[in-house]
Amino acid sequence: MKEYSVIGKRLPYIDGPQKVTGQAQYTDDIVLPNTLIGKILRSPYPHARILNIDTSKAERLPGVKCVITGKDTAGITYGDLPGSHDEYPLAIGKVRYIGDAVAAVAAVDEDTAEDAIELIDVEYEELPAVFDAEEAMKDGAPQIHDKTTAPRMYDEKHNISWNPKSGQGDMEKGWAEADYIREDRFVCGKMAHAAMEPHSALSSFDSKGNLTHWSDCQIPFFIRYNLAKVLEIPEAKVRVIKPFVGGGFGGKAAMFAKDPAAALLSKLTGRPVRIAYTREECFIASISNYDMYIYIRTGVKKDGTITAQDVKIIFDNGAYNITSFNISRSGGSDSIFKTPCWSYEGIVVYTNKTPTGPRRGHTSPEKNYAQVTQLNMIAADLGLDPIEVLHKNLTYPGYVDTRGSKQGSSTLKECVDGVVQRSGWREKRGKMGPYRGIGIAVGRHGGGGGAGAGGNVPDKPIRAIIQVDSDGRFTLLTGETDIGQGSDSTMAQIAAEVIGVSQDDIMVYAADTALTPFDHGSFSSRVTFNVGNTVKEAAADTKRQLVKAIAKVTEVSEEEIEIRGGQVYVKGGAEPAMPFSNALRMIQRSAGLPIVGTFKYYPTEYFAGLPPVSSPAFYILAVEVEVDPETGKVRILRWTYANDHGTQLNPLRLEGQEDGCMQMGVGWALSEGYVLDEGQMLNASFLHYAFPTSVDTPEVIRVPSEVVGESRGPFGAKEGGQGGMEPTAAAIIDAIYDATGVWFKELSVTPEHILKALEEKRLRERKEG
Amino acid sequence: MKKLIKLNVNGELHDVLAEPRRTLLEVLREQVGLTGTKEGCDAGDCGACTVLLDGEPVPSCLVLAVDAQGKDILTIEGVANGPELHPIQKAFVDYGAIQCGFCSPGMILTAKALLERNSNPSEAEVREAISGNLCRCTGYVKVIEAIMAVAAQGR
Repeated sequence: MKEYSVIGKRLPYIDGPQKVTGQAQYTDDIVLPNTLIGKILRSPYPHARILNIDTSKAERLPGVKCVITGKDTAGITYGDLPGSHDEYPLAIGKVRYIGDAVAAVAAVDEDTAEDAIELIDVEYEELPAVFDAEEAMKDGAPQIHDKTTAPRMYDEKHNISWNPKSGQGDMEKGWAEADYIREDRFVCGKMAHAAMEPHSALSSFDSKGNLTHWSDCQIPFFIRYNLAKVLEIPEAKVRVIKPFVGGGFGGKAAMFAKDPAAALLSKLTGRPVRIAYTREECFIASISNYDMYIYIRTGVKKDGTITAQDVKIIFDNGAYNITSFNISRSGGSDSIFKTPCWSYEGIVVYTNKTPTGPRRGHTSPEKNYAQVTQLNMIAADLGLDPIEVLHKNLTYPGYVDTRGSKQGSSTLKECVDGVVQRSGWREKRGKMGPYRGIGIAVGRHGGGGGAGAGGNVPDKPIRAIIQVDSDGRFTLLTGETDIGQGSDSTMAQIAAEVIGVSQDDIMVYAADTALTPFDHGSFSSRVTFNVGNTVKEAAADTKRQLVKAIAKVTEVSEEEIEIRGGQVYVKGGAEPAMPFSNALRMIQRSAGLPIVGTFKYYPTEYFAGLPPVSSPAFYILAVEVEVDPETGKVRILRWTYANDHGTQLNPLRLEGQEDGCMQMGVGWALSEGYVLDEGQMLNASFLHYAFPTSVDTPEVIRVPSEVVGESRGPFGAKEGGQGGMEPTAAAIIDAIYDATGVWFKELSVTPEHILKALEEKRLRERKEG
Repeated sequence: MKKLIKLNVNGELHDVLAEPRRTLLEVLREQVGLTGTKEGCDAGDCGACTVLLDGEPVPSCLVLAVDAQGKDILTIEGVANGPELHPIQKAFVDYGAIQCGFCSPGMILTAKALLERNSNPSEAEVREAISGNLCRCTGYVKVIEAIMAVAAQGR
């Protein structure tokens, strides 16, 4: 792999010191004088008409400055994606889930605000509710939305928000060629993002009607668009600032009631208003992952080679769309397996539950769990070696998929072989003793997402601006949104590499809609690819201007000037000619500063004329488990992985992303999930939600993979932040199969499920024996 | 009815007027003005609000401010030595043990208390000690590595 000075190094985050000292300011840490505390009144019913709201008692409570309901808003819906706007800032007409926002108050302190909420009288007429997507699709199911709130919805009577279908190839032929066909139904439960920082907003209108809004979010520019829309003010009067964010994972890729409610309360009171969700509100009233029913039918030849696949997924939309128009639109062509013909149908169904949105991988890991597990089941049915079956089906470099995209170079095969070898798969599979097992799974995740990866705002170019002044620091202005994944640091590393200075020389100012250039936000693994390329080009522009300016004040020609490690070299010289700071002083004396470099990036322009190529990252994982037959608890012993990220911009950061996906994947497979009773979440706390702690995570073995830099991302980087989720559940389920002989097709597999399955197996074997 | 509460925070005395039912977390953040201690759940489940009381890690959302009187309260703001990071803070930065940083103040204080009572912990002891500090970003892997590295440095 090519050796770089800054790229590829295990550098720490540029904002590490601020975070470890408590100096980093998250939304709830920002203090403005004269701030009021806002609280939201939420529906106690999953589905009800609002007959009347009486706020008079709340308004009279001393310390209450303002009370608003839907009628105080402009009655305009919002959402994430064009055509999908179906949610009012505060409910109008009816409520659609327990937690739906009905009213908001602003008061002098939190206690008064909470008391005021209790004093608001809402008269509801309860309506029948539905809590399961397949039930909601049936004739006669309660109708949750209609075309007044959701004009583009596909089928009002059956609660279908939308219904994408796609396919490639001759299915008749594909099924005919199969020697063996398997059909399965997989179920993925409703899961929480559970970022450690609760959702929060601080909103402040000034006397000129200009709004400054701090939002704990992944999409500051979309929030600006949505606030302007629902408040009916021009976007130019709305400034959204993203402070430090304590994690998102997709759960903050939307506007929530806190944003328009705090803004409107601020407008009406003339004071800043803070709305910070409680942990319970984060579970109940933000978004969760989609529950999914996955129906998958696959035909294979007798050696396990796939001939055809049909995937139908029913997505539980919850009460509102959020990002559902952007969920995985295809079944086969973006699968990790060669699928010569495939058909896909997605059915997105409203239910009276907490709305759903993208969670790390955005339904791709769930689909992958079904595809990989079924193939592992097929291998078991046919008595085939699962590794051989993998190699027969994996999409290797050069493979052209059914949509005409050619697979770029990858180290997929090497990663599989490396994990098989390092994990001891061959020695352990079927041989670890009772209730111990090893499993293997693969996954892929694309990145890039394009500039217009589904967004509210009209598809726009993005830009980076770099200014360099005499003190030798480079100021980078970028719209990208660091939510803890380190995108600020990645941009600093890229800029530093191109210019020839160190990461610490780059000052990153990001995600302030008034000051930084536009960017869509952190989702779809689009930031390193798109913003990274933008920053790389802007840095190259900056460097060209610097070199030109240095040439002007020295006797050296442009072609001979190099900048590395903060020093200026004349080409061929072993010793530096002068420190970079000296060169800057010389430029300043000749009135050549500041220098401003910039680049305007739009993917179709940037990649114009290039053939379509598919360069996903690949994830290969082997997991060892131990199942306790008395308690049903599954312990993960070892996690052996090899990932192909193309050029690793920062291996330390990529390891961190894998580790985080491990924690979330273990929870997804074994313990997490919403426990609901008639739409009421019973486990809306960290105590009961059961996500993995430090005693639950296994020994991690990282198998180095040879990096191959063929990707159109900066320096050949591929995706890195979400794909670690892809193989997690499938590998764990495969290991549990090895340990117990049971395949689990519903997640999460809690101890109760394990015990029940083991008992059923015992009874079955007794009957047969 | 508000009471005068005297709190010793990071070696400084603060006189605070607050109702007896106020938690130490609320008083630290809203009245003493130190926002490094975070509220993750306000129920004692997540550890983001961990402070040290006479050297012991406690969830400050479950401690009444009045009950913290007469004790040494250490928050994240008191860990560094002026501008110089404490070895634990430095290790967290260098080892990639922080991503979003929200759990970090609590994690660091728990780690500090551990290493002060046990300068040579096993990995299992480290895992046990931080099991009350939830993290969604790091999978705890590099947090454990960082703490073990500081322990090794001490030897």
